[in-house]
Formats: sequence, C-alpha cells, structure tokens
Amino acid sequence: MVADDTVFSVLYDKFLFWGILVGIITFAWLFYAMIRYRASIVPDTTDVDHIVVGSFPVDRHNTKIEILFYVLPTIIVVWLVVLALASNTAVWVIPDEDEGFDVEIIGQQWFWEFEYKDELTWQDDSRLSGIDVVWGDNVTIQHSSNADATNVTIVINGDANTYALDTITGSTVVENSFNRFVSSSVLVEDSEGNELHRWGHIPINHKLSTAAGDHFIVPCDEKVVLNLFSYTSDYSQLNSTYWGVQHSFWLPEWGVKEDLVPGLEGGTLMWFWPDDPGTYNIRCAEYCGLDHSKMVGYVDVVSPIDRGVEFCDEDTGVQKRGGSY
Amino acid sequence: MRARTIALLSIVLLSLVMVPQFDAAPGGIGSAGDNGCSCHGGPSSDTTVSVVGLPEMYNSSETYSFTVTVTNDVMALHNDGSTEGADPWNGRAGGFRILASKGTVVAVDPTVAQEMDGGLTHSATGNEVRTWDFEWTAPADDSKFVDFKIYGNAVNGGNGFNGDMWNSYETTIAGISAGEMAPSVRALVLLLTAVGLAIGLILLGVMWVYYSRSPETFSIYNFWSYLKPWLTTTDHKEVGIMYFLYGFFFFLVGGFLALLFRIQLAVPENTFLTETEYNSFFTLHGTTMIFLAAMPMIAGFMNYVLPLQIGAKDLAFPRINAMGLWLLVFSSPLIYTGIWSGEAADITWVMYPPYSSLTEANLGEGLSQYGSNLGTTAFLSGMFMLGASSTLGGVNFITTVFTMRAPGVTWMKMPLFTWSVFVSVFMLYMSLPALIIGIVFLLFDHTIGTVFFTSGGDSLLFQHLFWFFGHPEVYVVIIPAFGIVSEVLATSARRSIFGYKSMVFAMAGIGVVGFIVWGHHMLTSGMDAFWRAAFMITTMAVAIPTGAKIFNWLATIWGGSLVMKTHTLWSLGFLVTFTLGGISGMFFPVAGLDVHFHDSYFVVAHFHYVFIGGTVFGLLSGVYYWYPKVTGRKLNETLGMWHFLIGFSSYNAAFWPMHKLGIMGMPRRTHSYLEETGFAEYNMAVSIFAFIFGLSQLLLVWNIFASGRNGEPVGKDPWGGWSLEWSTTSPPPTPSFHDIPTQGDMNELYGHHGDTSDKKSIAKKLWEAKPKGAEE
Repeated sequence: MVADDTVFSVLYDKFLFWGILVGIITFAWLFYAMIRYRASIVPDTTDVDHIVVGSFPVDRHNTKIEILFYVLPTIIVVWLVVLALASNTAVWVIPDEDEGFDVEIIGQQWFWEFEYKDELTWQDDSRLSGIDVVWGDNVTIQHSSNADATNVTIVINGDANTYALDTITGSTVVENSFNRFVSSSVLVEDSEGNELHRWGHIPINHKLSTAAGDHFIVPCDEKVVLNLFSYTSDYSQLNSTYWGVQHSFWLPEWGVKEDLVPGLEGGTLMWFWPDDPGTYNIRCAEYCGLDHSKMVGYVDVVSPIDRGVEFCDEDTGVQKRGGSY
Repeated sequence: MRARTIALLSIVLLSLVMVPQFDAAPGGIGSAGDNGCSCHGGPSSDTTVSVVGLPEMYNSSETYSFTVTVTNDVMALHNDGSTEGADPWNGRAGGFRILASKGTVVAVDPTVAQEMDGGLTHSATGNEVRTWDFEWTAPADDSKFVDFKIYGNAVNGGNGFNGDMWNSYETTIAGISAGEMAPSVRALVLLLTAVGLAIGLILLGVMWVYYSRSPETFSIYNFWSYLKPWLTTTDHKEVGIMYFLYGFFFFLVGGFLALLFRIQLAVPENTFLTETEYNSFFTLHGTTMIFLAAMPMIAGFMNYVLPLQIGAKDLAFPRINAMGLWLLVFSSPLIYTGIWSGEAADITWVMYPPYSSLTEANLGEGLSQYGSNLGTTAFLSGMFMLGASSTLGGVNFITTVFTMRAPGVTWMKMPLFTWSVFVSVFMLYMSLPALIIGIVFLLFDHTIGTVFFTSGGDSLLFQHLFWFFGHPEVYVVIIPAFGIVSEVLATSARRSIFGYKSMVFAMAGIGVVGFIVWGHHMLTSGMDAFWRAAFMITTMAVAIPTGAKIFNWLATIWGGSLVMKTHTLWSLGFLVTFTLGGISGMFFPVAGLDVHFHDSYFVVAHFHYVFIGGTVFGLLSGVYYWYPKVTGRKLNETLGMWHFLIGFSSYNAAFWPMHKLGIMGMPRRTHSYLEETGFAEYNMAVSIFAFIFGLSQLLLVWNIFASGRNGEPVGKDPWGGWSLEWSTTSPPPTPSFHDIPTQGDMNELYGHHGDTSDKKSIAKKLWEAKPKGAEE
C-alpha cells in the first residue's frame, strides 16, 4: 500500500475525484437515456430519420452540440494535464548528488545488490528498546532501562564476537576503536538470543545483497537517490552490463519504480524520500525470467546517528517537496 | 501442373530434412530418439531393470549411492571368458543410460560410464557387466522434483544388435520441502488433453454439420468433397466464418490458459504450476488473446460484413485473403509447439530483449536458466508469420474500400463499421513493419547470435519498435468494436447515428494520435524528462476523440426507441466497461501515478477492461447482431440474455479487484506471492469470478450450435438496419450480390436535419465524388 504523503497518493486522490465525476455524469446520462427512451414506452422512431434498407438515413447532427462533445473532454484533459505536469518535476527531477543519499542498485537474476556511495551509521530507536550504543574509541552500551539485555555481539567485517553485558551497572564498555572504513554492527540480545537493539555502520562502497538475506538500509527523512544498473548473472563477466536483462526496481510504499536497462553505461536514476522508520517491500516489476516473482526484498528505514532519534519523528510530508506536492 | 506439385513437395521435404532438430528436456521430443534412450535392439519385458538405493525423498545437496542391475532370464549372462566357438564371449553383456532431470550422477567406478547428451551412458568397460554402482548428488534446491529415467539393456554377447533386449525404469524423487507430488504434470496434461479434445470436437462438429445436411447420402468417402471447398475457398463469407471460428476457438484456449494460472494465483505460495509453466502460460495467454483470438475474430467480421456493407461482390484480392487466413492458421502450431517440449516460450507477449534473445549459446555453458526457453525460436517464427498474415489483410482491405464501393457509397456515406475497419487496417498496415523488423532481429539474436538487442546492441530499441506497433495495435482491435457498437446502437435505437461526421473524424483522429503515444509504455525506462512529458500529453489527448465518441453514442440513444435485444445489451455493457477502462487509462500517462502503476496489476485491470469490456463485448454484440445474416436464423434471445447477465456481472467482479491489487503493490507476471502481502483474498475473488466468466462463454458456444439448427428463421433485415448487407438474403448468395446495388440517400429526399445550406464546398465535392471502379 502506498503511503499517504507521497506524490502518488496526492495525485491519485485528485485523479480519482475527476474520474468518478466523469463516470457519474456519463453513467447517469446513459442510464437515464436507456430507461427514458426504451421501446416499450416510446413509439417507434424509424420514420424520424427515414431508416430504409439500402439508403443512407437522414443525417442527425447539431454542429454546436458536436463541437461541445469535443470541447468537454478537452477541458477535462487540459485540467488533468495541468494537474499531472507538476508531478513530472516532483518525480523525475533527481536531487543533486551532494543533496541526497546515493546508492547504486544492481539487479541480477534474481536478486538485488545495494552498493553504498555514502556512508551510513544508524541505530534502532533507543526510546523503544531502552538501549543506547555509542562507538568512538570504545563501544559503550547503555542498557540500564532494558533488563532483558544480557549479551552483545559485535560484528566487524563479518567477524562476530559475543560479550556478556554488565547487568549490575547497566552500562558496558567493550574496548574496540571505531573504523569508518569497515562495515560494523552491534547487536544487543537477550538471554535467548533475540535481538533487542541494533547499531550499524555501512562504509562507502559497501555492498549489501538480497541473495545473502540483507535488507536495503536507508536513512529516514533524507532524499535517497538510486542509480540503477542491470548486470549479467555470469560471474566470469561480473560488473558487465552486457547480457543483463531488464528489471524494474519497485518500492510500492513510496509508489516509485524505474527500469534497470542493460547496456546503459550510466544506468537509470530514481529517487524517493523515506519518512517513518520501518520495514517495507521491494519488488521486481519487469519480467526477468524464471524466478522473477522471487526477486523481492525489504527496505529498512532507520534513523542515522548524527541526526538523532527525534529527527525521524518529523513528517517528511508532501509539503516538504515544494510546490503543490 | 503435376511436375510443379512434385517439385514443390520435394522442396518442402528437403527443407524439413534440413531443419535443425530441437534438443529438448527428458520426456520431451528429443533428437536422440525414443525419449533419449538411444538403446539398440528392441524393448522387451523379458529384461528387468532394478534400481536399489535411490531415496523416496532427497535432502538438499546430499549424495546417494544406488545400484542398477539388468536381469534377463532368456538371455543369461555367460561370461565364460571364451573368445572362440559358436557363441563366443566378446565382452558385451549389458548397457545402461541414465537421465536425471536435476543433480549430478556419476559412476562409482568412473571407467564404466561416459557423458552423453545430458546424461550418462556406459563405456566399453561398462559394457561387460550387467550391474553398476552410481552416486547421485541431489540439487541444492530441495523444493523440486527430480525425474529419473534409467534404461537397461541386456546384450546377447556378440551376435549384432538384433537380439538385444532393453527395458526402462522411471521414478520421481521429491525434495524434502517440495509440495504435492508432480502437480505440474497434471496441469500440462490437462492443457494438452483439452486442446486435443477441442480439435477432436471441432472435427466431429464439422462432420455432424455435414451429416445433418443430407443424412441419406452421408458417407465418409464424400466427406472430403464437402470439406475441400471450405479448405480452398476464396469467398469472403466463408473465409470470414473460418476466421471467426478460428479466433473464437483460440479465445476459449486463451481463456483456458488464464483459468489454469488463476488457479495458481488463487492462494498464496501455491505450487499448482511450476514457474516455467506459469511463465509460458501467461506468455501464450497474452499472445493468443491478442493475435490468435481478437485479431482473427475481428478479421472474421471484416471479411464477412465489409464487402456486403459497401455493396461489393467480394474483396479486391480474394486469393490473398485466403492466404492470409491459412498463414494465420499455420502460425498457431508454431506459437504453441514449445509446450510439447516442456519449454514453451516464456518471453511475455511484449517479448522484451535481452531476456528473449538469451540462450545457452550466447550466455555460456550451464547458464541456460538465465535465458529464455527453447520454444521461443518457434514462437518468434510464428509471430513473424502472423505479421505476414496481417500485412496481406491490410493491403486487401485498404484496396477494397478504395476501389470496390458500390454507387452511392461515397466516403461520407459509408456505414460506420466500414469506416472503423478502414481506420483500423490502415493503422495495422502502417505499424506492422516496425513489429516485423523487431521480430526478425530478435529471431536473429536468438538463433544466430547477432547483437541487435543484447551485448552492445540496444535493448530499448526493441521496446520502441514493439510499442510503435503495439500501441496502434491496441486501437486496431478496439476501433472495429467502436464500429460494431455504432451500428448496433443506432439500429436498436431506431434512429440514425448522432453526428456521423464527428464520429468518423473521431476515429480518424484516434488513428492519427495513436501513432504518437507509444512512449507511455516506456515511461519508466530512463526516458528523457521532456519526452516523458510529451508522451504524457499526447496520450491524454486520445481521451478527447474517445470522449466525443461516447457522448455521440449517448446522444444516439437519446430521442430514439431503444429495442433491448441481446446485441443491444452487449453494446450498452460495452459503454459501461469501456468508459471505466477509459477513465483508468487516464491514470497511466501521469508521471506520479505511472511510476507506481507501471507493470502492476492496475495495468492488468485496465487493459482487460478495454480488451474484454471494449473489444470482446463489441464483438459479442456483433455476433448476436450479424448471426441471422450469416445463418438465416436468430440466436436464442433467452440464452443470450443469461449470457449477458452472467458474463457482464462476473466479468466486472473478476477484473475490478485487480485495480486494488495493483495499488497494493502486486506486480504483474507474478508466479506466487507470500501470505503476508495480503493479496490472497482479492486474488481468490478474481479467480472465482474468472471461472464464472469463462464458463458463461459456453452458453454462447451452445447457442451458436443450437440456434444454427433450431433458431427462429429470419428474412433479409431482422433488426431494421439500413446498410446494404441487410438488402441481400440471409445468408447472402455467392458472389454476394448478383447485381451491384446502389445506395440511396434519404438526405436528398428529406434534407439534413438542421443543415439548410445548398452550396457545396470543394471539400464536400471531394468527399462526395463517385468511387472509381464501382460500376464494374
């Protein structure tokens, strides 16, 4: 389902209104004419236009009404074009490189890869989990508000180490200095191994893949600009756009999609503006072969560390996009 | 004459011999003969093949050992080591051939086996014994079914191949997390059985019609002399009937395919169809419905009605017309042929490359799963033949309308159906070259490894070529329906059509604008923002002439006395559904909406509203309207009314929820979906009503057959239409008019309503100029 404050939803409501209006007028006219002028109550009208086999009947026309029949739809169409044109800029004018959060999307048969062109450090909402992670020279975990937390797992570049939390003081320090060039994450767990809180860092040029079960992670309230490429699935020609197939990256939550066109050197571009933290769907909309229907994934909208948790509470809103959208 | 026939036949035979053979999956049609065994000698029940050690279910990637033993009591193994004498041992005792559809099979002793055509066969060493040990490594995906075919051969030890006796062993092993046992096979068998049954029924039906004509003189020997005129006819009426029946048959076949995958989609995570089958079935469904159902049915009406309406004895090129029909007939086996190999084309009806270009040949060894299925080659050849057929039809109808109009049938006095056909075939004729070029390039890419659309070529080029044809094609199938509805509504309202000229201009306008809107199918393909806006505006402009047409139809009913016959009901139903489809069509060209709707179920809902609610409803209206002209009997009105009531309501109930599914985010061409998506309830509703809609068409089938015999006989003009087809007998004679009729003009007698000017402009004189050649 598409979120309420997207260009799609605003425009859809407007078009639905005009569509229903046109529908009501047409159907009211049709049903009235059908019932009012039915043969059982109207005497036969064959002679009015002199309908005789083999002869073109008397022309029935009224130039003014006929012109009106062209003008009425023209007015509606012009009005809808005016409504629609504004959305053109909102959808297809891509924000500048330094303004947005840039990610390259690579479509292969049949999974998505996300290569980050900007770094992202984020953690779950501390107000909900009662846990706060800070990683500078050391990893500091404040977990006094969450009694369930017993363990912490620190993953650096795929290597995981688990430490017990200091449940008496409610604050644990693990000595390990932060390196912004490797992917790292901190998972706080309860005694049964359930994840309570997650802190993560994605460095520049890091790759996530739905084939490995990764979610696509994007910051909230920031314009996310995607550059989309279709690569071949033949690993001997990896990173070649040759022999790739068409895909289409669809985010139904924000009502946006764009095709991945094999052979396009610069790829295609799209953007969206995530708002509320949460997990949403990714689908492939363009038929791409056998497992097309399984080429799905998830987007996680998270709050970046440097903006603070409260930043995500703000509504991105259509108003923020400028103009009537 | 005979020499020429022999020469032609030998060319055909020679080319058949030279045609490259398809290598198909085990169980399909293969070059190795006898389902890939390549066993020598003959099959015999004296030989027993026993296999020990294969599991009933497999775990992912696990290795299983198994032993194959061939026993034959008649031909006992006598390995006594002698090499001389009357029955010498020469080291040949038995052989095997193992075909496993998935996973890898290796012999424990590698010297006894060798690779052959995607399976294992014995080596010279393996030939000396009758028992072998193997290891099978199961595939990593444990949700599949693996078919094993193991052939064992008992060899007689030296007296040539003649005495050898072989037998086979077949089994299917399910993965540990596979669904129900082999449901996919059932669906395929179901389809093939249904198609075979239908062909059988058609043959029986033809024979029954023949028998019922004169039961006394019936004999199977003169059946041919009855059938032959139908196969060799060039009469536009008979060709038209065959076009229609052919189209209607494929309408049912395409519908049947749709019902199969509606079963698949009814519940989440269903495994009724495999992905390969699902992908093939929706490809065939789309292609069938557009090219093998809608177009031939329309061609049927065009062929039958158009010459009658313009007072012509036949079409301009009757033989070319018949050739168009038979090209079409023989293209359908090509399109469907892949099903028999288990790998029908799976490239969608839009055939987007690179996927459709990719085969194992250009992808590389072992990567065939990333490319399109084997049946694609034949499918593309079939599409090429369809293009040829439509081109011939286009030439023929354009020429006919230009040259064959009877006196009095001037351009602006042609019936609207004729006008609609003229606009439609003109668009078809202008747009087809783009499709044919695209298909031929695609075929080259697919077969001989050119790179028009892959690897350095431009895959977007095909999309442009396809939609330059594809969008006008949409109007090609809807405009004749406009024509039918115009005829039916005016006749049923007992008035002339309101605004005849503005109707003609609207159709011509749609015909022109239809050529500059194709880009809206590619709005999300990385197109420049300026062109996106341009295509958006042109697309929305199509609504102007279309809206004018709908208003004109409403004005036609206004002030008439509407007779509610079945054909009237279908035309009124057309007005409702086509308006709905037109309104939803306004949503697509808009940037903010198309980025969500593109390739979603909303699109599926929209084009089913215009294709079924527009084209098919129009055609059904035409069936009830012109059936009396074709057979001399009316279709049963009560049955017809039930057909309309059930068909119309179930149709709306089936396709309306698809809009919702599209907004919820269900992509089209989806084999299955997860429970958590929430698509399940809507899909179940769609499937149920689709079945009702499909079954309701059987009412029409029954009606057509039954009324041909028992329907109410009619005269020349049962509904009170004015155009020339109603001035001849029902059914019309051959040639259709003994004397070329002259169409009168009531405007000359009574004057236009509302037009007092007597002076004729130059433009008017041009419009009213006498057609050339009409006096012949």
